[in-house]
Amino acid sequence: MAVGIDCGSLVTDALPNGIVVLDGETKVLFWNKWMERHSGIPSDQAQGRCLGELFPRIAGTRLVAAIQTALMHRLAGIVSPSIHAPPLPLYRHAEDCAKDERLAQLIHVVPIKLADAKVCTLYVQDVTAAVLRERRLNEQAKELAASNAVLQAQLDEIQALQSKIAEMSARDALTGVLDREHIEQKLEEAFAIAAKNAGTVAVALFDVDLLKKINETHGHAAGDAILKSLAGLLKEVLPGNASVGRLDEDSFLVVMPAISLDEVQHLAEQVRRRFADQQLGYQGNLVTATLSAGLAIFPEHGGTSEELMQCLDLVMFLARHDGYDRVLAYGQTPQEA
Amino acid sequence: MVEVSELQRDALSEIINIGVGRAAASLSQIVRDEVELSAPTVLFLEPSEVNQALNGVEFDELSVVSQDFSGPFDSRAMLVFPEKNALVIVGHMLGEMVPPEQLSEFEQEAMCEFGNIILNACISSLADLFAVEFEGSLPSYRHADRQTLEILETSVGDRPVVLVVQVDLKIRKQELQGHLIFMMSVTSLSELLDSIDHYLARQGIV
Repeated sequence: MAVGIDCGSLVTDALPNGIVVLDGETKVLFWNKWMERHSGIPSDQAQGRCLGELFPRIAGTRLVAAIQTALMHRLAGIVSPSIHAPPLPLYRHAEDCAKDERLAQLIHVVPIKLADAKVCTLYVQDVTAAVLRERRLNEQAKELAASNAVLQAQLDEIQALQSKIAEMSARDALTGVLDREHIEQKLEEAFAIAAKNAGTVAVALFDVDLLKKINETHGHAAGDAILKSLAGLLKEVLPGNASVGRLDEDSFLVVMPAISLDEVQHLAEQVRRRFADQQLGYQGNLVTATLSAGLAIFPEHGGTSEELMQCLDLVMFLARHDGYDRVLAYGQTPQEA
Repeated sequence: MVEVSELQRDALSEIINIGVGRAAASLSQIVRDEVELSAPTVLFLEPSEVNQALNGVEFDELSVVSQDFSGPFDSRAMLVFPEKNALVIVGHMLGEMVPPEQLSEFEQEAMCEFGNIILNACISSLADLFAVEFEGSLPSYRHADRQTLEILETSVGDRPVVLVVQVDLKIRKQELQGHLIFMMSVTSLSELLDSIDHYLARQGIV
């Protein structure tokens, strides 16, 4: 290499980064080709002038503070692109300048020892491409999160429908109350809870009197209408926490937690009276029906669901024997009721 | 271990608090809201005691910004935050919450600048009050956990003294804790204590 060639500035001019050297008063000592290209200020015009004079709008920015720290305390600093707007008016292309679209800048401010003089260097990196890439990735991540939320909502909807279907399949097709399997399940659940909390469970069986005769006289459709109206009446009169299910062709089982025998008796009597009073118009005929109901309560009448169901069978037998249209609790004689 | 008096420790704590106070002002500008910083405790420990001192804070995943300082005494200074706190800090600096995955390159640089501001502020306040000069390297960011933090300690066998400063940060009503850690040799520690004594003498305290 020929003697006298300034190797350092050849190298710095070839670099794809901006290099600026400032003296203690922030006057430019060195300004590489990259800086010329992207600021539009030739090196000979930049040299000897303060950075704040070249770029008046940098006053008060974090870059100025980092330069002061480097010059005063010889401590290096970093000015990152994501938390500041680009501090220097540097542009990738001439047309960006008109729109003031600055290139994204990562700036390292490094103090250098030059005899006793306080000097620092700015290394400016163009990170525009990386910033754009990052932004695009963030947007994609947000879009992904949004479409995930949509999928999740659809999944929730499907699950809600599924549980609705499961609930519907647990129902008696004619009357809409629970089917035998599920009312028995409710009975077991109510027993388990009552046993654990020392609570009560009342069970009541509602039988339509002489349903077979109604079917023979008026047809099965009339019998069905009567069963439907009884199911409706049970749901209307009994409390919300009561579970109603169809046990047999002509009978409904009701499970009521946390209730007294007196209350159950009162409610059952109400159902009996209203059922007997109603007249169903069916194909020009007025059809009436009565019901018999049996009641038993845990723990008073039995310790298990089987024992209570046996109590109900006995009570129903007594009610039918006594001439129907009665509400009878276990242990009561028909006269007492 | 070199003995550190109560007075020396209090004085150092005061000086570091001046530094973090300056840092808080710069950070407030970036976040565009008041940032409060305080350094309530200063401990001189042996490397083996550091992990224990950091116990209690959820310190499994760490975000570490380090810088080397040289001058009358030399030190590797680190700002250590639990990673999830670092994510919150970066979120406040970027103006939007960062998803709790790994910090991306730019978020690492943002964290780097955050550490740079605090570490430089502490060192420059030491330099101003001790009337001395330091030189500081560029900050570097890394992710670490308890194990790698230990390795880092053992790799500096010539720096058996660790100065651990608890840092309490408050941004937009959110309180976050981290630590400043200065690792130095016994010689550097003696120089630091000498500087503190000179400072106290100039203040007419000793």
